[in-house]
Amino acid sequence: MIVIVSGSGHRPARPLLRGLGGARLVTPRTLAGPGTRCDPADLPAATLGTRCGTLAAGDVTAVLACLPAVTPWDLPHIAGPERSFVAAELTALLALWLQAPALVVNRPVPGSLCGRGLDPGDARWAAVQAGLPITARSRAETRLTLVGDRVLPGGADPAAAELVRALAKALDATVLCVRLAREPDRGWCVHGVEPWWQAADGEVTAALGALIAEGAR
Amino acid sequence: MILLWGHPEERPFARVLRALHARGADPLVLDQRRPMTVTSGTVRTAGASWDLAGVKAAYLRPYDAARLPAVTRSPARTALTRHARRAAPALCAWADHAPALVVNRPSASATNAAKACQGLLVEAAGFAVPPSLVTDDARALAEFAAEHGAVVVKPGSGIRARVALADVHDPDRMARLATCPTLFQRHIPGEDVRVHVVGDRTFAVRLVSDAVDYRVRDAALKQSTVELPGDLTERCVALARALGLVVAGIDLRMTPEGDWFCFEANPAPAFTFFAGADQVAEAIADLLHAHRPSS
Repeated sequence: MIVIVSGSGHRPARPLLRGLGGARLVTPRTLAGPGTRCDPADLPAATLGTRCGTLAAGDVTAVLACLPAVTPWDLPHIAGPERSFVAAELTALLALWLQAPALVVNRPVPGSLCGRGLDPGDARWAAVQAGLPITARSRAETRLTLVGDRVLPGGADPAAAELVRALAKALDATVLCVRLAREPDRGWCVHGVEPWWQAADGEVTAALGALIAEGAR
Repeated sequence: MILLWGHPEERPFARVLRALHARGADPLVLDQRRPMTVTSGTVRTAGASWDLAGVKAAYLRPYDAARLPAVTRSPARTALTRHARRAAPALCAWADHAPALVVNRPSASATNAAKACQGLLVEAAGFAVPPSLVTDDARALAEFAAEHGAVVVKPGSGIRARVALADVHDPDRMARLATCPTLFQRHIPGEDVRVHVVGDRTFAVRLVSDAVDYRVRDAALKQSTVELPGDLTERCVALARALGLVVAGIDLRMTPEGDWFCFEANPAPAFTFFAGADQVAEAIADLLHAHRPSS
């Protein structure tokens, strides 16, 4: 089973939700007990309690992590004064659950359930550290998405595709959506990043499906 | 340049600032309660700006500025909150990548926001961690308690709340459990030892209290500085390094049988609560001061 974990902000694009047949969407709002049991010493046996029944880690082949953290805005059903606390606890729970041995795209890092490649500031500093060119232009010219080793849409300028690959390596991201702009004297430069799951079209979704199938083998 | 970011009246911050002043340093203090912008490696406050490339060492103790009373009570709270919400992520992004000594990098500090997850790293570093369960299921908790005996409940996130014994027979509490997955751990009896790691130095304090959580106000608490036995000093330094922390407050407990458990590594320890706080502040100041540019 493929699981898409998403919050109320930055919802996944429709092709992603429709294109991965049978994928189960888990949102903070659907996380409702009882049924959650996560023993850090036995994560393959972990379960999540959801409104649609219990989700066993052992049944999950891949997880698409599409939120950096659970926020109070994800939890309108929780009483106001408790929302921040419950949001922080659910974030901590998901951070643990995502350590279970399924393919997770992108692997969580401390402070972000969906790995790096979402925070524009982080991406720009990472680019600078990796010696990649960045631009201060107000507008990007193009947007490319890396899925595994494929850069989409196909037929992108090879120099731009190489820049995306290099940034993904610097951010340790398997999937990454990068905005680029071309400077007259420096060529393609990193303009910023954005949530890949919002930019996912049919081509990106198909590539993700192939990546998951490959990872499951 | 040495940079300090946080709330200058907060005790650990103030103590480190004082120790830096005593060394003749004149650090850049970024007060979270004041308007500030961070763009393209430059930080600007009212009437001044600094290039972050000049920062050789930084001590970060930021709070959520939007919740600081000085901000929430200010007539300019909307503008202050807006400034803080923009500046904080930008400064954190810089701090995660800066080629400077950063105490501590935000990404390393974030391990403490998911305690069971941090426990996996603590265990990988060679410390015993109490058996744990994150659950919203009263039946699972009852089984856990049947296996482990007394169980404590604590926040699984970085939100501070006291640790307490869990009453698995209280039907009201068990009914409420379903509203939020909660971290439970086997209760480990014994004596607490807080170890402050500063670079490769350690400062240990033995804490004797009858309370489950010695931090509660009415706990009769006795503190004394101690030397760590065996190789614990090296192991604590190694744990802090493994977590990417330059400074850490490591919570250990020694059982009556002499076994050691580690509960967590705090990336922003409130060391002023503990005996020997001046030594910790001096050590942090030494570390920061050693990274100043040579004149």
